[in-house]
Amino acid sequence: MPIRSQFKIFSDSNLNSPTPFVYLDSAATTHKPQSVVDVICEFYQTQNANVHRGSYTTANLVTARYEQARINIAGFIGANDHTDIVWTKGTTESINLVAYAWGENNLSSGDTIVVLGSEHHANFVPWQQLALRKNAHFEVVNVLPNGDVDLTHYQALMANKPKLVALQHCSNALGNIHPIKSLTELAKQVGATVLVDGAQAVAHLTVNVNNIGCDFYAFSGHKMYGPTGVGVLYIAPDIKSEMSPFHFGGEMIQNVTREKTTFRPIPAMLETGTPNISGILGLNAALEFIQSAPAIEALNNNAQTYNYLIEQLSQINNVQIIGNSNNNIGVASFVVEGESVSDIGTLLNEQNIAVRCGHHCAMPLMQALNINGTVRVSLGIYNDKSDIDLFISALKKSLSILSC
Amino acid sequence: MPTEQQTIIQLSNQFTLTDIEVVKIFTPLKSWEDKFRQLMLLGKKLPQLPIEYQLEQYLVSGCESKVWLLHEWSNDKLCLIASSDAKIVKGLISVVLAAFNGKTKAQIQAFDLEGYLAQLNLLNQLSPSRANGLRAIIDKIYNYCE
Ligand SMILES: Cc1ncc(COP(=O)(O)O)c(C=O)c1O
Repeated sequence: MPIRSQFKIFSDSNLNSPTPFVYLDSAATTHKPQSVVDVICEFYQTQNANVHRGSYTTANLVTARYEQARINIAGFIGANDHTDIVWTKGTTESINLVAYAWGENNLSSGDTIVVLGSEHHANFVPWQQLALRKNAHFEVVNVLPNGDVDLTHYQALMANKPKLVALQHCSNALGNIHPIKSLTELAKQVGATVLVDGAQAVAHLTVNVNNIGCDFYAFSGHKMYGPTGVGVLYIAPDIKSEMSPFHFGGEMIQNVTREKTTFRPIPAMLETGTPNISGILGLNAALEFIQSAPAIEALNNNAQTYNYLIEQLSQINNVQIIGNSNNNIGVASFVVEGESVSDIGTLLNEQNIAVRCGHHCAMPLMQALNINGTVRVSLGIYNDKSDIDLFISALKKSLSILSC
Repeated sequence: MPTEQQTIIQLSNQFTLTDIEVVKIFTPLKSWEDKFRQLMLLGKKLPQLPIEYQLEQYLVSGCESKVWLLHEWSNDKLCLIASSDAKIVKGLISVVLAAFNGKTKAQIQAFDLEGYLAQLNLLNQLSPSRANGLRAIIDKIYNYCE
């Protein structure tokens, strides 16, 4: 089946009239193929049961599929073992979990935390706040004008021997792909623990956590064609002994008496409470989708669509593309001289074009680049040249209205 | 050098658009393009807000874009000047000032703003955050009258 036809949203008659719905906001969330929707519906219609608890057949079947999803996710990111995978509700929760379950006991007054200047708030604020709680130093790596990492500054900060380095794999606001393996290596050389925020990477790049060499890798299901409310935290085997439980309750425990509780090893230790079972099964279906031959082919074609987008955008007067379009996951972030990005967003919306306008949860990046925000066009597997043509003509029309 | 008060009153007096004119402009318009084009033109009718008044303290909070709003009372009439960094918002400000600028407290409180806005059929053209921003401006003006 052609990729686009697997997403019913693109043929919905309400949404696609009077003009086609052009979705260029996949960096915010991707649409879900029918296979993902079906798995979730079928789970509730015919299989609903809790995991790890039942003594009956459906519960055992669901538990097996749920644990198989963990094995599949481990394989997807090149982790050696399925016990390195902790389910969370998304990237944000994964990062905050590390800030508490690891950060609280491993960071002390005077230690240093380093983050990139282009981080999403989800990989910025938890560390800033941890540093405030611990009286630690919070250092932000300078951003080059094209959004890339200022490597000289990064290396200079490594001389402070940071305890933790938190790095985005790819920028959500600009799409830049960072040299994550060498950044991780440099941090590891000075003994830092390294967390990578892979929210924007997993749908676009082949990720191998072993090859990167990081201690933690965080991502969300909903940005890789899976459901909302489910995410992953990869924890490298060597760092597991440094983690403490954070939320307490059922499932995580080995033995409970009035006086004390002993805990099971990771992942159970960090997964108390009934998990998002349908979401995890849906994420597994998304994984099958993303690894299917048509999806891989469509993803390869995205590169051409992206080049076409950049070429077309560059020809419009006063458009300034922010970010490195030579090494990018398919994001075109831009400003137009003399226009506010929210006006452009409003007029594109009138023409059934979905883009995101503003600071993209990366206010420190906007400050570093000295801009108020951008219009962000981000591609997904289902976008093609026709989307770009509709977008470009809608943008031209918007700019002509704004200049009247 | 005129005082700040004098400047506000003087600039506010330059804005002479009325609600009746606004209704007349928008009533025949059917297409979204024409409505937005008119908003652009209305935005240009706002007296230029001098840069020295584009200050943090005059920003209306709750707006997606930057909106500066200043006021003074002169002979019991409310003198308003406002601007924004977004052109659509400037147009919307013009629509609101056409109803309220240079009016007395009693006139402002008696004015059927909801009816006016409904007649223009503009609000459904706006995103919720934009519409909320417009409400924030309107609320601030009502607050001046309390
Ligand atoms: C780079 C990056 N990090 C973190 C997040 C937060 O992800 P979530 O909202 O799924 O927790 C996002 C989502 O926009 C992101 O793009």
